[in-house]
Amino acid sequence: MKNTAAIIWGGGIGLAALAVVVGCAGSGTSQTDASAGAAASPEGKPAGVASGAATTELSGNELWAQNCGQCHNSRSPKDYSDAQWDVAVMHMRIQARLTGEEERKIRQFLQASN
Amino acid sequence: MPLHLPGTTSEEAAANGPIDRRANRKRGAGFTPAAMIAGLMLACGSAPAQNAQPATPPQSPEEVNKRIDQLEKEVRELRKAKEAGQPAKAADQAAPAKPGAQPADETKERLDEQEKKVEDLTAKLNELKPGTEKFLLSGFIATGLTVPQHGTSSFDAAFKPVFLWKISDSLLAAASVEFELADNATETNVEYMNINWDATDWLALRGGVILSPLNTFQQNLHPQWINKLPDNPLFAEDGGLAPEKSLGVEARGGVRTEIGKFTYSAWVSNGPSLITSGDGSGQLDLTEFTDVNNNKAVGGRLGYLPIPELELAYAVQFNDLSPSGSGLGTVNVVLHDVSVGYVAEQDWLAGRIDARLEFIFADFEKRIDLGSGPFTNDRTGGYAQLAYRPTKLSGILKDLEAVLRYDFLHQPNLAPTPADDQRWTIGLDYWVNPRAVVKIAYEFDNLNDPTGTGQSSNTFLLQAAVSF
Repeated sequence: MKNTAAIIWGGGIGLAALAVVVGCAGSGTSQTDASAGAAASPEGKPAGVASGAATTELSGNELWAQNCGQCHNSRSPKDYSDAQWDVAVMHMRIQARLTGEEERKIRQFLQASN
Repeated sequence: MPLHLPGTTSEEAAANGPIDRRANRKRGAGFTPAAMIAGLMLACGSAPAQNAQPATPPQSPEEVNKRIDQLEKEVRELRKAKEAGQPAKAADQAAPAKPGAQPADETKERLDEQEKKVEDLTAKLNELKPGTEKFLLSGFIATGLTVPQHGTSSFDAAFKPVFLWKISDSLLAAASVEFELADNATETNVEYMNINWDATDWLALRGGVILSPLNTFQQNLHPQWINKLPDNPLFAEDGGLAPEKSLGVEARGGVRTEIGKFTYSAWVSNGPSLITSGDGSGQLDLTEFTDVNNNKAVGGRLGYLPIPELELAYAVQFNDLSPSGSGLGTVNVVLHDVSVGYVAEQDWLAGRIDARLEFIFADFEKRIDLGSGPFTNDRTGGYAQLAYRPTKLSGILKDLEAVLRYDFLHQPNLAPTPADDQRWTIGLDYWVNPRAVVKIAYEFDNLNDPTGTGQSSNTFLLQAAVSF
């Protein structure tokens, strides 16, 4: 079992290192045009987003894709009304540990795109 | 006087992208009655209309009420103005016809017509008054089939609604209930029910039954419409190490910095207890709803995202597991949890990769004796999972996701239930749409039970899940 744990840990460290390299190399290769607005894919997810930028530099579209997609498929903005997004995004702010600024930008994007 | 429709100044429109222009159009459409009323006032050329304030989007129900009051006041003023003009008009009618009498009649008709329109619009606006509370019903339904190599195959189903009430801009009440079919009966459990308060941009406080922040899988990934395989890793099953929920209070949030984003949690809860007899003797009882002693579990979690696609997290929880009066004395355990998650969609991969790794370790302070002699009760569990979905391909391929998982649970050799278990699982998911998935998987089980009571059992799994 110790061997298994060692494999897991080794693999994990390797995965993390690979992820950093891939992520850094990949960032910027598939930038989403923020002006595309509601041009989400059928999955309700933009084609790609910028990585590593400060919140103030990121649009609601980019923050939405970055944060929601980390755990689950992003819902289409059209799934909910403005009032429903108001509640859902507040819930997800707490669940996903979003900052207040991230919450506001994501909510604004979703309410503008539904 | 220019009439400014809500949020449509040319400066704003120029400054904002198409998203914002669209938002402005949408907001404008949402308050058409108010804009129309203001427009009608101007069209009438009446004094009240001239004095009308530029329309701006009402930000609260109170403001909507103020608008309605204002409109009603303007209607009253219009009436007064009309009545004040009646004698003069009557005198005009009694007098010989003069040029200009016909335009006065037309003005009166137009005024009556506009007044009726204003009344109708005011009534409609009243019907649109929002309440002060916002409610959302969400959740998911899942159903599946489990066919073990040894044992009885069975269908199962679960319904987990989520109820959310936004009480104010900073206060949210959240609850989720699980309805599951088990042993020919409907089993009902609370998944979570808590009160949340957004204290600042980087701090939220919540209390009640919360999803345990200790374990990333249990907190974010276990719902069937999110989990990429039909079942959970061993550490998240009965007899495992990762609590699904805790009863207590928590502070949590996130902070963006120049070197990435940090997330954190700190909590105090009833904490798990130790099962001291029966089949699960030596295991953790993770239900946590009734505390067994006065020593609360205290924990913290720190996450770091150097890039948005990658999260590295470490969490720790300190507990005293011993039930009061059990004669075991203090049984302190420290639960350590390490997780790595990497999710990215890359052109060169022609799709999205989702890699997860999580390891949890229960480190007991001292040996315990549950009747079969003292033993070290340290336990470990973990999983590594890789999923790939070719989202950039066309046709049905972009809706398929291949999943591979390795998971294990190690229990001490001298414990009353000493079985070690490890599994390899392969799976294929078909995403009907972003909210609906059909999963098929096969599990290769390797159970090592020194007592000989348990045996390995490969399992075929099928599941469908839909979120709403």
